[in-house]
Amino acid sequence: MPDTDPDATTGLLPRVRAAESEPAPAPVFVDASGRRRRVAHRLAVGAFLAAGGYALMVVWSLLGGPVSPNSLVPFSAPHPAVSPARPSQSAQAAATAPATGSAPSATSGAGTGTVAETSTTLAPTKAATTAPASVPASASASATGRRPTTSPGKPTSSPTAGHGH
Amino acid sequence: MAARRGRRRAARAVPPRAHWLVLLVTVVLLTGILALDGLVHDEVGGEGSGGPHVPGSAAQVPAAILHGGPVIDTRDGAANSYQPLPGRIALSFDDGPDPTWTPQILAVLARYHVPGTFFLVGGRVAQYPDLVRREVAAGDEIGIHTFTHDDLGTASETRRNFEFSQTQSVIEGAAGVSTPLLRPPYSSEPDALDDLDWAAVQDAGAHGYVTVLTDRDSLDWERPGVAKIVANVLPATGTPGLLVMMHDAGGNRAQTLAALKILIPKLQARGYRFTTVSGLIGQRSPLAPATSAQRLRGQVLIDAVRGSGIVVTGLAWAIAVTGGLSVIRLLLLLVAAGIHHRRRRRPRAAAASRPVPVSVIVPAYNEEKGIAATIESLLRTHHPLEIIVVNDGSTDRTAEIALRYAGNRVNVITQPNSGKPGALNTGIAQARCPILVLLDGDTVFEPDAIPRLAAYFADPTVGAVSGNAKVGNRKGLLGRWQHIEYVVGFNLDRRLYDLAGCMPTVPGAIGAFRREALDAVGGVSDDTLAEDTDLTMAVLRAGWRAVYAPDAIAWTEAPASLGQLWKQRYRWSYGTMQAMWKHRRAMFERGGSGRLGRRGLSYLLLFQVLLPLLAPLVDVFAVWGLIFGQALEMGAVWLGFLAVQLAASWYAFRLDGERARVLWSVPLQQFVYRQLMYLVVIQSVVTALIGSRLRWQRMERRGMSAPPSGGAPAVPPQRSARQSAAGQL
Repeated sequence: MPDTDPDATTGLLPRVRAAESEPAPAPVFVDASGRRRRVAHRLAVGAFLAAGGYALMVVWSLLGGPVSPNSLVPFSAPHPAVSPARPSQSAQAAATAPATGSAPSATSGAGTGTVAETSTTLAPTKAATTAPASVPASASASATGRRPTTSPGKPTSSPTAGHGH
Repeated sequence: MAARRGRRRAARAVPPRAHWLVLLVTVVLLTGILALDGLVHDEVGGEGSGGPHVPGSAAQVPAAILHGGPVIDTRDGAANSYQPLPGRIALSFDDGPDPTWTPQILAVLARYHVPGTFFLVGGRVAQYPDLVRREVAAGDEIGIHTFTHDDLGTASETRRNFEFSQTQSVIEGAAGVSTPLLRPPYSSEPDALDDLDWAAVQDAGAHGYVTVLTDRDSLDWERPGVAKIVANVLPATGTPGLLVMMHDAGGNRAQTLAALKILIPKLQARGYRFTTVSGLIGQRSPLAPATSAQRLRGQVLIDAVRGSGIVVTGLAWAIAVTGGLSVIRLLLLLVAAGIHHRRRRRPRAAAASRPVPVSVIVPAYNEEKGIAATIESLLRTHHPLEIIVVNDGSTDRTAEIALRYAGNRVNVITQPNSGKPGALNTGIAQARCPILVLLDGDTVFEPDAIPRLAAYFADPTVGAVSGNAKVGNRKGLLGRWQHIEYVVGFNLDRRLYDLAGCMPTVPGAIGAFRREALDAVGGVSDDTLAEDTDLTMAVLRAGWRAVYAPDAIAWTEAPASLGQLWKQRYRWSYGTMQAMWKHRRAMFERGGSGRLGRRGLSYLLLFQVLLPLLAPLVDVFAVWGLIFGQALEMGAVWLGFLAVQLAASWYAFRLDGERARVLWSVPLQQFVYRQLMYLVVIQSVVTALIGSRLRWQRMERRGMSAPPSGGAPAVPPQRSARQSAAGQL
């Protein structure tokens, strides 16, 4: 121990050199035991597996098939109007279908009374509206009629307390 | 790597291979990381999203939609549009989340206790998932606004699918909910839909999305002024149902914030009830919980995006630091070279006193093609000298040729092959003069090189003198590049080393040592593959100075093929690292040794080990930037750096009296040469780390006694090339 201290502080050259040139059976850096190589190999393999594994997960995340919205429940009824696709008559027919069909599907799918109630309330409005031009009027009519009875969504139910900031 | 030495016997390398795989994987991963980062940043306002298409015909759009409400449900294959209920108003905010503005918007909404609806850009969700969580927790509604803010009208089906799915996925990962609401980027009111938009709306329905447009575009993104935004939103009379479109990202949203603070109280005073989009049309909240698999999938992407953001930021810093250091280094070199050149500490010529005799030691292993020229060039020297040729077990006609010159000035010693350090030590033991010049067996000296080297020893503190080695074979791109590298290395780096008193290498091609210095360090060690560096460092640590003699010129031959250059540089790089490690304690020593350690070793560590290790990442980053990023900026930075480099090279050429015309090939160096230089360093570092060198060194020895397969580089035009080059000057 006392030998090393002067080395560090005064840098006595002869001893340093003697210490270096004396043994040196293996050239600088060489690890004859091969231990460093094994450790490096293991580290590399480990890093490779970790990085590759995560990369695969990212690929899965990016390309793993389409992600669709979970709630495919239809809206409780096309409340103002159905808009038939203009070009074809068949589309018009198709467009009418959901309006009438939405009430059952809403009741069965969501299973909530509110939705069913809303749809039934709205169904007549829909039936009454045939021309797109009348949409705004009917919409306001239905809305005025409905406002007190409906509390469908949680945000709308209580404008002040609902937004829990 | 600065040029330092003349050609040496190329070692037969058996390099490890696995690290190239590691490098390849690293580069591939890095490319992926850059791609991911580019994907999430290529959104609002990004150059990549080419903006909206020019509106076209709306013949396909049903009139009921065009003139209908702002919420369009095409999920069941039909087309139902919904009008806002009167007396209700929904504020919707597009393009977020944004770390600056979204929290402020949320704060305003909270202050007035009103909910909002946020249409989120997937790339931003991945970057700021916490904000989405906050929005959902606050009771706000969220919807998708595509992943990259792409125009859905012109996007391909695959692209749309990606835009929908990825945005949904990251929202699920971020907030654990799934949303069926979509606002197409660049959309406004229903009557602005054209056929392309309509097709996209129908496609969105097929994917399960309800398209949410607006009937009250605040146009806040134009930043028209707070008053204008307020006027755009506020209805003239009454309380018609309103779906207001605003933005919480994509630029400075201070006006939006200010307008909200005016609008909300005004509208509340008018009797409006604030709600979300679903509430506006009398529906329940459409948000549904996501499954844990969906959350995981989104979380993976969010983490990857965050990780890539960190990597890219780190890389950008690394590149900035690299660039900064490189420029500082070049400037430092320029200044140092200028000072060194002006001082011109040319020692009072030996004419003053009697010239000190010099022993020249020529280690020769299979140098039959060059040895004659080497000896003849030495014999032309007007200086008292003895020439000791050490034939190190050559298997060709080296000995025979050398012996032709044997006489009173030339002494030929033949010994069994023992490697260059052994050959040098044999010569040193035989030498009788106080100054020893060491050179390679194929170096051609200028006639006045030796007296010029010797003159520096008039200063008793000088233990070693480096000459100026020049490339003789400058034909071809590879020769030119090495020529440039040598001129720059010898005229800039070496002058800096000289000034700073930390010369790490007196080159094996042309260097002179004081006898006492050699004796003090015990001759040439074979601990490293760069015995000249090792020797120089040892001499410096023993307390002597090493200086540079720019006017002592020797011609050397550079490797003529990439393979040979690779082997040579591998040895240099690895050997230099060995020598640095061997002499690492110089870092903590005092005097000349400390100067070597703290200045020389640090410089080498930084510029010849660490920066080259970063270089491949810099290249990947630069290529990526050129192709996908700001090509103009990238190009400008690159050109600027090149200009500094060219200026430095030009100055070096001027100092050396070389013609600067070859500098046209400097820009091309960026392509093959630069990569070769850093790959060599990577290979050396890996070799050093895993410690697998012993085999190679033994191989080398065996290779030296075997026929020269990878031994001496082919040299047919060597002499003529060298002499013609010498003649030009």
